[in-house]
Parts: sequence; C-alpha cells; structure tokens
Amino acid sequence: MSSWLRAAPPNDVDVVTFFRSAAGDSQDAVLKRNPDLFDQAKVMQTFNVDGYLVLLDGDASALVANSAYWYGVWSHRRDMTWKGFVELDLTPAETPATDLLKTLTASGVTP
Amino acid sequence: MNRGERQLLLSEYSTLQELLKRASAGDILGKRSLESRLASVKALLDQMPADTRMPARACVTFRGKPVVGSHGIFAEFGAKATQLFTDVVSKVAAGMEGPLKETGPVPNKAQNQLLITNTAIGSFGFELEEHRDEPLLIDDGGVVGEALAATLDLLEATNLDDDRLAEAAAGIEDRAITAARTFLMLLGESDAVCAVETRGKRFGFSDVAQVRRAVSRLAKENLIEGFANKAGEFQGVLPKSRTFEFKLSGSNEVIKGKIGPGVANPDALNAMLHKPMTVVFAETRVATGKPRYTLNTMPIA
Repeated sequence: MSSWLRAAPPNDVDVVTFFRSAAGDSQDAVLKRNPDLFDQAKVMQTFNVDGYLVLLDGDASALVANSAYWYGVWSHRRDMTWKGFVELDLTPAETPATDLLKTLTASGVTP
Repeated sequence: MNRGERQLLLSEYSTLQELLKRASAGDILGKRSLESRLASVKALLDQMPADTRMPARACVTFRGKPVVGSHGIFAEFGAKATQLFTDVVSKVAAGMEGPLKETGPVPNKAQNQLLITNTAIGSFGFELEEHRDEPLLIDDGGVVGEALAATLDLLEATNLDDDRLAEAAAGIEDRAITAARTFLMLLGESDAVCAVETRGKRFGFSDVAQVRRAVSRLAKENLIEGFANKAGEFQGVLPKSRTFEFKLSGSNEVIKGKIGPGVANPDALNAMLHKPMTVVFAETRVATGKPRYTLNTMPIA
C-alpha cells in the first residue's frame, strides 16, 4: 500500500489472513492437502507474499494479542510514518476481493 | 544495526514466544506462522553483537525570525546553525577524549559526527543522532552523549549565576567554549533562539536578549581560564565520576574539582592521598565568581 502511494514498485505484499476452519474440516487436513501454501518461506519465494495466518475461532484473548502484534508490525514504516491496510473479505467465491481489485485498477493502480 | 533496533527485535521475540504459548494445540496453521516469524527475528538477532548500545540523541529546535512556525526554517540559517551546533558538540567531545589544540583539525571528528535523523515536532528543528559505520559498543565510552549533555549544561548555565557557569565550563576546552559562543552569536544576529533536549533534560532560551547575554557571558574577558599552582594534599578521588578533593596546605580549605582526560588512570591518584605536593590545576572563573578546578595532568608525588 505504502509502495503504491510512493509510486515505487513493492518487493512483496504483507498479508495476515484471519481464518475460520470450515465445518467438518481440520487445520491438520488443510495443511496436508497443500503444505507449500502454509510454508512462509516458500510462499514468499513463489508469490512474493509475506503471509501469516491467525485463527478467528480460538480464544478471544489470543485473537486480541495476535491482532495487536500484527498491527504493530505493519502499521508504520521505519521512519514511523503511518502505513495503510487493505481489508479483503475472502468468501469462497471471493467476489468482494475481485470487485475491490477492479476498483483499484479503475483508479490507475496496478495491483 | 544499533541497540535501539536490537531492543525492538528482542521485544518482538518475547512477544512471539508469548503468542506461541497462548496458541491452542489445534491451531496448527497459526502456530506455524508465529514460528516462522520467530525464526526470522532470531536470524536477525543472531547477526547482531549483543554489546551494542543506543546511539546518543538530541533534539535542537529554533524559534524567531528565521523560523516560520512549525512549517519551516530558512535553509541558510538552518544549515549554518546546525553546523555550528554540531561543531560545538564535536569540540566538546574531542576535549573529553584528550587535549584540544587551539587550532588545527579536531581529533576524532569523524567518529563524533551527528546525523540529522528527522525534523523535530513543535518549533522547527532537527533530531540529531550519534552515528558510526560500525556498531556502537557499550564499552566505547559514549563520548558523544556526554558531549551533548555537557553542551546543554553549558548553554543552560549561561542563564545561571557565575558559579554555576564556571562549574559547567570547567573541563570544557577553550576552543569548544569559543565554538559555543559562535553558535550563540549566529542566533543573536539572526534574532533567533534555540532549545536543546537530550537524555530527558531540556533547556531553551526564552528570548533573544537572553541569547545575546549568553554571548557576553562566554566571552574570554568574562569566562577566565588559566592555571593555578596549589600546594596541599589529595583527600580523596572518585575514579569513575572523575572528581577529587584537595586540601590546601596551611588552611582547612578543601577544593573540589573534575579530573580531565589528560589523567588516563584517575585511580592511581588514590596512591597519593595525604602526601604533600604541589599540583597544577586548570582554573575556570566567571567574572569575580568562585573558581572551579580541573586536574589535567598527573601530579608527581
């Protein structure tokens, strides 16, 4: 986001995915189906995504602590100027994400 | 990489450990994320020496004619004032490390440099930070931090009584006092005032008249530095705080003072306690005020 505002090409995109386990599925099974997708180093190397996951269904205090941590990590640049966040609601159909990307493209941003 | 960055990483490391402890057993994906982050932070920490320290920092702000509120500062004045301020600090620092000649290159100027790291919030000014290419080590003395504190004390003392000014100026080399006077002259001529903040202490001139008075008080005619031969005996020496007590012969008067950089091992003075001797002290006096003494050379018992 800050790279777009500075008109500089970003090297990567930082992503925190807040997720729920689907009914009848388990994290273990999800991991076994596609282990590379949950290997931070591989995801970074393959997609240039510095990606992490936070469970929404767990203990509320752990969710608050995780949210505060990730907010702290990415809310500012090194010189303490604010950075922005984009929130995308990823439904199975991913319609809101697709719509938002169209809006960004229309405003001249190359996602 | 300095101690500030190391402290941030250590803090992040312990936060991640805490988050991992709180993660539920079934949260396999969440834990994998935290573990990979923890590994990245640890890799960065492993690259850093543990004995680094925080860089010295100061905030210098200006008000007056050359300053447009908190919007900006005229470039010519800002550049000149900042250069003269850093010149004071590098000369005070050089004097702390060894004798400073009246002319010629300032010793260790490169390693006592200050970096402008940001503009200061409030009145317009700059945040300055000690800079070295190599890591700042705990045992390298941190002379820039000491010099910034001594510079602030000297500026503040120009607004205090003669004894306090003599106290602040004692141990600061003539050339550094002259540099401080040159800095203040620029402010006075430009109808500006400054404020300096370092190590949690702040001093600011309230008006230009105060700055101009400070210029006069640092003049050689007012701030007199010389040497004094004193006969007597050392009563005690504090090697870490580099201070001494010396009882004059034939009286009960005890003079207290600072031990300058010329005495490499102040602890050796403790072997000379209560032995009669004549010692040459540097003497600093403001107008007719009480003199302050600095021991710059090791006496011979």
